Amino acid sequence: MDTATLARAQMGLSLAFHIVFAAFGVGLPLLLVIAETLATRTGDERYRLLALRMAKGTAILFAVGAVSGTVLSLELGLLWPEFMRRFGEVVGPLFALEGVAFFLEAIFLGIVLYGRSLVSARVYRLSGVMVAVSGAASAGFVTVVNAFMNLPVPVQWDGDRAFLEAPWLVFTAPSAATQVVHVLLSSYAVTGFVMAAVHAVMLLRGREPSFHRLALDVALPVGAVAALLLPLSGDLSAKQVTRHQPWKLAAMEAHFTTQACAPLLIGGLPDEATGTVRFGLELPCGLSLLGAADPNAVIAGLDQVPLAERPPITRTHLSFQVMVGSGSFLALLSLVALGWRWKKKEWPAQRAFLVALVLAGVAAPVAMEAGWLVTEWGRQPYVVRGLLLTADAATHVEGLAGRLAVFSGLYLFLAVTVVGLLRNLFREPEPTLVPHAA
Amino acid sequence: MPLEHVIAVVMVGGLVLYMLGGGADFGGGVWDLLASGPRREAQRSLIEGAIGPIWEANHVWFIFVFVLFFSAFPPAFTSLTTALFTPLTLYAMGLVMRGSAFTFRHYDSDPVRRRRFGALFSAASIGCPFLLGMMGAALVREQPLSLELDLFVVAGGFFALALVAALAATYLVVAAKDAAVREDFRRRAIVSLVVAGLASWLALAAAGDVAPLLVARVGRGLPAIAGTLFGSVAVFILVTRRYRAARLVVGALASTVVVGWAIAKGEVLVWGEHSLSSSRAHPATLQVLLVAS
Repeated sequence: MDTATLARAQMGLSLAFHIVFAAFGVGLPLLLVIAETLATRTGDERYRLLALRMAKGTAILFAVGAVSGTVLSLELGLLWPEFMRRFGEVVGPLFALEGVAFFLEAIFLGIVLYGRSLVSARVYRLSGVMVAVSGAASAGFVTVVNAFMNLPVPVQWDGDRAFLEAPWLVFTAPSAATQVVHVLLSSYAVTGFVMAAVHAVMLLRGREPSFHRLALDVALPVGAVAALLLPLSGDLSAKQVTRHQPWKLAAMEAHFTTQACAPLLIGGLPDEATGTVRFGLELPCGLSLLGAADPNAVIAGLDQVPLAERPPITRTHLSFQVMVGSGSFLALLSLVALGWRWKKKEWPAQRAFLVALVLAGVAAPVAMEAGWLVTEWGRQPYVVRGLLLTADAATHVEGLAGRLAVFSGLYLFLAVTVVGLLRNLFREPEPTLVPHAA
Repeated sequence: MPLEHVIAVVMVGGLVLYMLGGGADFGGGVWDLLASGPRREAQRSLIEGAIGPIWEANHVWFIFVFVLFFSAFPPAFTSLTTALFTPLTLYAMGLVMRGSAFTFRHYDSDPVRRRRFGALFSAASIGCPFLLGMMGAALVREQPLSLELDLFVVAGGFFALALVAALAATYLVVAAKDAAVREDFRRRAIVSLVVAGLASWLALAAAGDVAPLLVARVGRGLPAIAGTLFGSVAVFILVTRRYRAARLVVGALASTVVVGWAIAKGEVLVWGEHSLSSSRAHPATLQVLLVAS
């Protein structure tokens, strides 16, 4: 592999790893706040015990998210020196804001984790809310960086270095709003469903059924509502991509030929050389309908994109299929679960439902990773669309292969340890409550 | 003052805070490894309690400086990350290992695994400040930027290590509730202060050929006098057990080192390539960065 490919592999690995923990950093504080609120509203102290357990899990996941995020900030400079040199001025302020948000999140999380006995119940609840808000804000700022890379706002040039006369204009990157909403919703869906899956496993094993049913009350509504909103936000994203990033849409859909009444491709294996798709199911006019809300709309195909500027089609298309497939499963399951809960005032107790929840706990992070791959691969061969090629942005340092191996080993070790520790959390005896300060 | 100088001052301020917070965290790891004697576990739990609540928030200062650097001086940042690729990569791995090992140890109840996580945490806590010290030294050398090892760079590593150890030991003297544990750290603080002093002399002696500006601006200037003064006062305070001002004085010493380093660098960001004014970003960007920070 050449150096640029190795740099991409290392960055991709680091991001794929970090994203999961970042999502929990956004979602878990919200669940914590909900559990605390339920405890106060219902007077049922078991919710508070649940919140305490979750706080421990949050600490572990947040720590790994924080350190892997620190590494990413270093890797930006190490692996992509040309990107930072030319666009550091534009994206830098966003990272600065993200740093501020992260700082707030860390401080308030410190209060939530260690300060229970030091602050009043009111300050404690407010701290929980602040963790949730600042976690969401920091994810939002980073997503705006990605939105800029996907579709840059017009920049001024100082030689070959970009800058913005009005630096906040970076927030007007055309896909910023749709991307931020989609990222936040998917973080909530992932957190809700992974937590629900963990408790579903416990219920399947018959452990402390009343406690774990209670946990579903906290996790499932968040996961399910997010999973139902995600297709709507995805639809907005699709329309945005159709209008402004036709190359990405064409790669996502393996849509080779520009045409009116373009079909929606479901599944299928694209053959990039011949421009055909095998084994796919085509819904007539579906793509025109979804992308432009008009069955007769002309949808630009890959034939409009110069060969050298085409994203990798097979990978982008398959990732998109995985995302949509997993997301549809989650949405369907959410519809059933919420409907049942509404009619019968409780979650379905059937074994099949619990098994489906466990599957959803896998499908949700898979969908999120796949969605991230769609947006990254769909932007290639550029790191900043139209302005800087990925290959030109990468470092020229030799010996990246060894480092990639070391980092892979490190992340594997971290992942295994985190899973082991979280498992231990459930073996420990019930935590005890510490009263608030007056 | 031109905007880029203001930003540089803010960055140095960030580095001082990183030294006072993150440096003490590293030092905590050093003493975790060197915990010994009958009160070994008491020493470790004091360290764990001291790091616990503010854990990792301290490293936000590093990210803060890093982000300001690449936003305000992009070309210099690119030169630096390219020239110091390997030590920065090792530093990143060290941060990951110490941060996660610390948390893992906290939440793991198995004694064997706890010990292993502890070892990983301390090893990384020693490696990180050593690397920072070496990179700091390499950055004031008046030669093309690289981590080519010489006596000056290695002395810089040892100096940084001893300094963070002294910082942490002094904080722990003040934080200790148990008199015997306090005595343990009092001795450690004195020893590490003396070692830091020796390492700083060694570094200044070795700087003669490779970093003449450091010798001129720091070694024969106010920073060396201030550093010697704060160091001596710190030792005096610890020897006579007047702990009230201990943290303040050691903090002043550590801040002097960072500020002295910045004075030695002056306008130069990457020797022979980039200065503050030659690599600065557009004024609009600098203004926004100042407002944001």
